[in-house]
Amino acid sequence: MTQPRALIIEDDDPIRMMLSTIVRHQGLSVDTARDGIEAIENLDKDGYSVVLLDLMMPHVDGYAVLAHMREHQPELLHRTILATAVPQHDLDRNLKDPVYMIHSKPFDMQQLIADVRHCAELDAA
Amino acid sequence: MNDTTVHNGLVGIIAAETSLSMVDGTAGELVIAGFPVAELAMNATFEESAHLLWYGELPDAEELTAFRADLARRRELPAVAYDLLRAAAQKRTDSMDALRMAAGTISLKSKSTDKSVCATQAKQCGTDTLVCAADGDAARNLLGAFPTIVAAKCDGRAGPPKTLTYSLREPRR
Repeated sequence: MTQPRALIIEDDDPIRMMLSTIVRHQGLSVDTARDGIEAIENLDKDGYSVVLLDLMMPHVDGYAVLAHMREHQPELLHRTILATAVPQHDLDRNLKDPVYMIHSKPFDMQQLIADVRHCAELDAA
Repeated sequence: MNDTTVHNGLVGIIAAETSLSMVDGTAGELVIAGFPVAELAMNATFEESAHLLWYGELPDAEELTAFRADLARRRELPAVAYDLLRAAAQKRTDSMDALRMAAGTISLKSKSTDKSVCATQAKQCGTDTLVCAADGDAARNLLGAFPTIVAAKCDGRAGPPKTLTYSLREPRR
């Protein structure tokens, strides 16, 4: 059975490290990206079971990553979890894509883990 | 031209109102929940002070025992927190970042097996208290776990110090 893979896109080093460690604990292999540019490079190169995506990042932000996914891998949007500090009213205004779940910082880690596992299961089904 | 008034500096600007603390810079006084901070520091334990801030009053002996026991039940960390702290040490991550990462693994969901705890918190919740019900439980989870996080960060200790209080030295009575 292939090990499910996660891409964690987050510019904050400690949060990226925290999310990576937690997701690895769930048995997934993890790639990381520090901004939208690295994220798109990874997305074009590899297939992922689940994507954890921050929205506010330097260079290329999370919205641009979502737009790239919409164009190239629209099915992956349904296994994408937003992990963001963006206020709800900004999301209501700017978020165009139907992602699997939105988690606001600070995260409810148990719920986040459950959602990561569910996305991995969706991919395996 | 409009009539907008620009206030330079912070004189006269009220950023927030709270009954939890009062700063009298002129008199050099800091009052926490009705007690001068020096008096509190000399006479109250950490847990008593936390109780005061959360519920608006110092606990009696029975309440303090229950409060300490409840925090002690929340000392244990998930395994991933220890892994994070080890990884942070290997990468020489800044200490505050390491503590922040480990704190991020603490569940914000209720661990209370006694529903009356939440009910009591909800009852005590009012405009003069900081936390109530679910938020109070999350705060207790964090306060209970944080000594273990700090211990694990400092010396890689992998078990919670369930019998210790927060202070090495008890206050004068």
